[in-house]
Amino acid sequence: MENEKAEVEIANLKKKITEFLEIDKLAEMVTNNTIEFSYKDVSYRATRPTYKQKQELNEKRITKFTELMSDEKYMMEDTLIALYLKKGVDIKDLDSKVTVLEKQKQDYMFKLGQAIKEGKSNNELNAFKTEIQKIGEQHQELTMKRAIYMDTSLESQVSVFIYSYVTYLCMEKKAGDAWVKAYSSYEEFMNGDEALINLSVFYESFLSRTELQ
Amino acid sequence: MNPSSLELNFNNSGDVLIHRVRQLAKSTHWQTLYSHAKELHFSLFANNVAFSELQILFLNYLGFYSALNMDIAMGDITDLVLEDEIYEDAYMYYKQKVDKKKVSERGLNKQPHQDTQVPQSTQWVFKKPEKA
Repeated sequence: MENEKAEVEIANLKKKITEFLEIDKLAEMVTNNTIEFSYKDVSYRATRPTYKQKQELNEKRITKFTELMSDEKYMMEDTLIALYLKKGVDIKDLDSKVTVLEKQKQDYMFKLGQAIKEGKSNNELNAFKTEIQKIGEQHQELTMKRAIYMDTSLESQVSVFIYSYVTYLCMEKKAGDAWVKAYSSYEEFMNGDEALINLSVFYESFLSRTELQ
Repeated sequence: MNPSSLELNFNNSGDVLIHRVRQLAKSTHWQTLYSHAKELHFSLFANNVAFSELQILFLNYLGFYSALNMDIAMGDITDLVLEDEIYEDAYMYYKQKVDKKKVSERGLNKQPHQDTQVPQSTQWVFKKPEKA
């Protein structure tokens, strides 16, 4: 039952994202740096953080980092990697495999580029393309695997918190003709509609990622 | 939905986003605007500074397709390259590597040989005046 609910939520999220990525909407978003969308007949808008909001975010990041550091159940990435190794999972080996795949991909990219320049046949081009696609799939599989392993790390948890917090700070909703803050407190945001939170975090991340790095 | 499944969805959607950004940057409308903006110095966006990651990505692809179109116009390659994004990336990667090699070779050729006598021009500048 719980899985079915999660699947429906993911499907709805994907549908919304596909709509959002329609070319016209994307062009508007690129030029104005705001993303408008509607959810349950309410208009919402994701905006970029102001200087003051960025200062607040930085303060929150430090506080969260310090808080998690003093909690024994959270581990830094390096500690987690060492622990995984004891359990038989070699993250460094995973990283090496990713590096090898990247090098292989570059080699095929060069060969394909050269074949295009030399006007080689479609068959030859396709052969290189197939190899590149195969490597790409293996690469994606390994990087996702790594992301799942590292999901519980302290750094990853701080990152999830910061993306949630910036969304709370910068999301607006339409009240009459005016745009007002969508949430009056972080607690209200966290206790809100989960599908709306996921959608909002997704949109906000595109506008604020540079500021958050 | 837990954070990791959300992150995986972000990653998958990230690929779709990049594809859409490329389509937008490749369009005749935006390529024309980009070309005029460079010559006439007007801004493509509402903001002139502090570009978002999405804007930087879009600008990079505007430049990428502008260079690719230039090579097609010059007859270096055919427009077959535009049929597939992997072809586009591969050609630009190849071109970048070849150009880099040419630049470094040119740089090496400019280095003087070790057995070549380099004129010591400073000996005249700092030459002591002869006593009268």
